[in-house]
Amino acid sequence: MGPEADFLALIQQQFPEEIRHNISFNSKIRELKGWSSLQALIITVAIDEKYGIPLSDEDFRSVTTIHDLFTTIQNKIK
Amino acid sequence: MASLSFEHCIIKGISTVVPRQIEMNASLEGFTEEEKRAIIQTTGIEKRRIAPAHITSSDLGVCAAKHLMESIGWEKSDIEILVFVTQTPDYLIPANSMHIQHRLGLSENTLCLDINQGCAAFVYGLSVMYGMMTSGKLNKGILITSDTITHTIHPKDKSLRPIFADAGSAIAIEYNHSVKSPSYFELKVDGSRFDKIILRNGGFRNFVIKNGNENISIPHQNEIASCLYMNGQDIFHFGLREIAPQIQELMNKHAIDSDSINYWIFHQANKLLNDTIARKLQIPENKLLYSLQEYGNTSCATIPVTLSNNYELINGKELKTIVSGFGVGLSWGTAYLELNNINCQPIITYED
Repeated sequence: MGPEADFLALIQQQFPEEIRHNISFNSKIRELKGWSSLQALIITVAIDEKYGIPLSDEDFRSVTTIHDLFTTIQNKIK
Repeated sequence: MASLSFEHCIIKGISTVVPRQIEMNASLEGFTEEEKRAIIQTTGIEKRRIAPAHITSSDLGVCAAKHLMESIGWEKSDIEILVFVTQTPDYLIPANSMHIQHRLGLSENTLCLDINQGCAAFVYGLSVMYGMMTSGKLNKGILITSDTITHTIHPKDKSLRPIFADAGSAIAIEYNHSVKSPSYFELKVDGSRFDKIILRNGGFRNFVIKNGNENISIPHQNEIASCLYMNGQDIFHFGLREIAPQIQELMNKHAIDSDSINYWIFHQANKLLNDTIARKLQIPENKLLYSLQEYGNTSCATIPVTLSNNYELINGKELKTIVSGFGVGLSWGTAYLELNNINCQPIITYED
């Protein structure tokens, strides 16, 4: 699994099983079913534990899609 | 980083008081069932104690201090220092410690001081007490950490209302040169992030006189100037980034072996954050103490509330602990404390 697919799988795992298949790289984060500020915290922990990058409010505000979030993480890793 | 070490200050006892009224997160109005389930699962908070408007931080603090002094058999006349840590004092002027010196019947010679601190209140308050008691050779002192933080929260604030609760704790501290009990503190502040948790009105930059003053610049979308505002995502970011390294630094500096620590007590922010910090430090689940489920985030009081909530594990035991408080300021403080044979009382309910 490449880094992009790996990241998408990580995000999908943070949502209930029944909606995971609807989540793609181009999904708009804030329009995902079940999206909330608490869901953002759950995703923040998953990303921090995998990549060692804690996400701020500004990080979330600056992205629209899951792909954008992936790019943000990649830029922080660099 | 401010690093402090003390040798002869010890905690003798802890008492905690909570209001009678219980608010259940599963019964919150204005939330869907799904929202309530997610709140309970993520934050770990099921119940919270809410003080009615006429009960203040000093009421809870005085009740806790009286109960504590009775429990450990201290005389009022013995108290040489009283430090009250709160963000919700009864008045802007005078300080809580001043007017409760009289309510507690303490001597006029008692050194009375308030500290405005929140989530790191216990660690900051304890470090100030230890410092002043050591330098002044003051033998007996009471530290009070008490807040009615729910009085600052808008009833329709769906982010903060399910989290915060009220409580007051009193901690008896003794300075005894013949006792050797090391304690270490690490304290930090980042004031650039001061407005991540803020109550904008009520101080003198935005002083509210009679009719209120809402015509001030408010940078945050969801902020109401006369209510507590918190950027939850940024506080989470702060918690993930700063706390584990500070704890690790304290332990490295003083060659503290993680396995030697009996219990870890963190500020009760939310379970997801505390569990994540614990995983970073490889803390076994059974060594991480909680009070969130029953008492929520009681601001100033969370660490002593957690000790009181787990009194069977603390009372009369010989323990090595790490405590860490983090939040408003933004500030964060970690301490290594040895709790030897302390009188840790179970939580009691405030009788109006």
